[in-house]
Amino acid sequence: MSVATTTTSTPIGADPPGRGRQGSVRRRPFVVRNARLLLAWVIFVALFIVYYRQLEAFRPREARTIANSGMTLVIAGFGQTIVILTGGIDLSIGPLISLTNSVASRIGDPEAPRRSMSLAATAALGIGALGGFINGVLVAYGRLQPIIVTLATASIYGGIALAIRPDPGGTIPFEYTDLLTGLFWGDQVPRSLVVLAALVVAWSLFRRTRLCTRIYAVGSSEGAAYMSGVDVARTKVWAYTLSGLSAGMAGLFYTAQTATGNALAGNVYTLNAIAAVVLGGASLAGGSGSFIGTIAGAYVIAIIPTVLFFYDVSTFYQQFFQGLILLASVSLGALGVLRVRNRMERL
Amino acid sequence: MSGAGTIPARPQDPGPDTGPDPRSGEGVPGGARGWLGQNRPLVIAYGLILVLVVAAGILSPGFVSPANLRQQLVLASFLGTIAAGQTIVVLTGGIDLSVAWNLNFAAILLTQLGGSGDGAGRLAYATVAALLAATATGVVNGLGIAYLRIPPLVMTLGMNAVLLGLTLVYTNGSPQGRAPGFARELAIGRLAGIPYALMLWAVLGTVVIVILRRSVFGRRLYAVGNNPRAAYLSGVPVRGVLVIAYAACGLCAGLTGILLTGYSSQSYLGMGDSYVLPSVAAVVIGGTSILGGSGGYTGTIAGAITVVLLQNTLSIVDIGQAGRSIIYGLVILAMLFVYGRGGRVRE
Repeated sequence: MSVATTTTSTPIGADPPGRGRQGSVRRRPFVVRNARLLLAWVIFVALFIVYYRQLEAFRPREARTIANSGMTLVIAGFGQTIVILTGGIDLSIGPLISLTNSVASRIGDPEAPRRSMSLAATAALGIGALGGFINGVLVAYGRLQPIIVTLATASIYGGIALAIRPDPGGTIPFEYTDLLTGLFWGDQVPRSLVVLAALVVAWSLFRRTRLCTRIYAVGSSEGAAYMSGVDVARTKVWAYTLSGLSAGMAGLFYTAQTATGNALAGNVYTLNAIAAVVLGGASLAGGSGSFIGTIAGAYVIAIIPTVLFFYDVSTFYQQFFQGLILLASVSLGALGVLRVRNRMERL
Repeated sequence: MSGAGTIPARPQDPGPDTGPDPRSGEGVPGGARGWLGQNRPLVIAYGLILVLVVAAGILSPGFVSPANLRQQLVLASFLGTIAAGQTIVVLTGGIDLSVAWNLNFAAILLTQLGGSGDGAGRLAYATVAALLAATATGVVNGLGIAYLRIPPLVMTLGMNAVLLGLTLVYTNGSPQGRAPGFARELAIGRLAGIPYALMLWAVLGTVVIVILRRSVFGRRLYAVGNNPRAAYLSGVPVRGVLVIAYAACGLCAGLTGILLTGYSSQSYLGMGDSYVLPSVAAVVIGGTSILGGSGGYTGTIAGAITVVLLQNTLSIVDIGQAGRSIIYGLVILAMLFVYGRGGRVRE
């Protein structure tokens, strides 16, 4: 992630020349480079402490609840981060989660948990990747605006989900639910933390791939990336396909969490995933951001209702605080604009 | 599409030499094309209405009765009012996702403050409060977007969450009061066979079109949408224009809130949610570029009618929510391909 923020010199916060050591380009300190990302983690830790102090005991059960509450959003945020890094946006993530959830609930069979759920998982990942691939082709080769393309495909995927599961229902085998959301290691560690760890490893490996460098390059400057020999269109198709794939994974985790199917349930994740990515410090203009920040962003959004619940604050305030924290976080990140001397840079 | 016969040949694709300027319509240099060539999006949008009406008439002859068509227009006027604000914002290159709860909050202010009585003073106070609150929300959106450079998507998303929370807290989860008589009359009343809602839409439409085409502010909107820096260098107060644009969008949302309250004779939670994406769809189908700087309200009117007709034509063939959603998405995609393609990346 450190490379991420250096490859994209933000025009706003960039150091004026001359302050560097012996005229060499001075690398800004780690804290400055990752200010927004660290802010997200600070907010999360602060909220976690507030929650922790209210608890009588922090048992594995509480750990499991907290870990599970943000997992779907973290997985969905993985894909959204990648797409936002290219400077695009994916509004079809929520409906894709609904769609994979609906499909999994159709295939899931408590009589044959292993066979049915492995089939369901394969189908869900395939559908997710295909949905994302279609988005990518439309955006990259159709040369259409991502926001409106994914709005349209969101409507289509949501419609298919409704056709597959018109009414909420279906039974997910308990074994599957426990596999993803239960505890292990003598009932001490939440299983979803393994999923989280796997995602972090996947991200750090992904950061080393050429594809990832290309994604940052495309997001920083499409024209410059093109001139440097990056196949911009193919990079975008990959980004959206990965986003669809992670939406499929998020749908699988969501299915384990709710143990049932609902063709509308996933829709809230669309905007929450964007909020998580933005809270995590990524720029919607593309080219800067990291999944590590998105994790904090997602858990901030997920922990707010729990904290409010423990402090006896009406749950009506939940959305209010989510919105407020999102706006406060982006405003803090934007304060640099006020210091900019060159008025052209403000536009 | 069967309307394709009336449309002249595709305007020449801007080759790599002429630079990427894919947008048709006003402002294209060397526009020696005829009226049809310049207004291709308009022709297509209004042609689509014709196709939909004919299709609906074949499927269900009762649909094209004057009474039903008038009813469709009234429904379109609600969407058209909210889409008027959305058009103004999209022309600057932005988007407003906060209209959902902005209009909901306004509607609830109207019924809660207005009470069930019909005292003129109290009603005037409630109406002014509702419209002022909606405009103030727009101003806050505009300030965040113009002065803090928060991306419109994030700013309005955050405001939407904040307003949702405020509404829940204010109403304690269950809105009180009924729609005042004048709001009911405005939404469902008629004078000499012409619904008041349509008259209001005609007035609003005229005002918006005149402002966009004939006023300094209108020209500035297009300038900001085309290139904020160029606009700034030409003396356009870019940030002021943005704030006014979002304030106008808020006002339109508030107006829609009053109309919808009158139409359903009460306010309820979530009444605006189903209007956000259709309002964006109406703008896009009407030929306004989501990137800003080209388009206008004449197209959005056609877009609003198209969206409403599409929804209701699909409901008469009893295709179900799922099929409607799928076709809706496909139509938006098709419209994008007809006139929404971007230029190739070359530099």
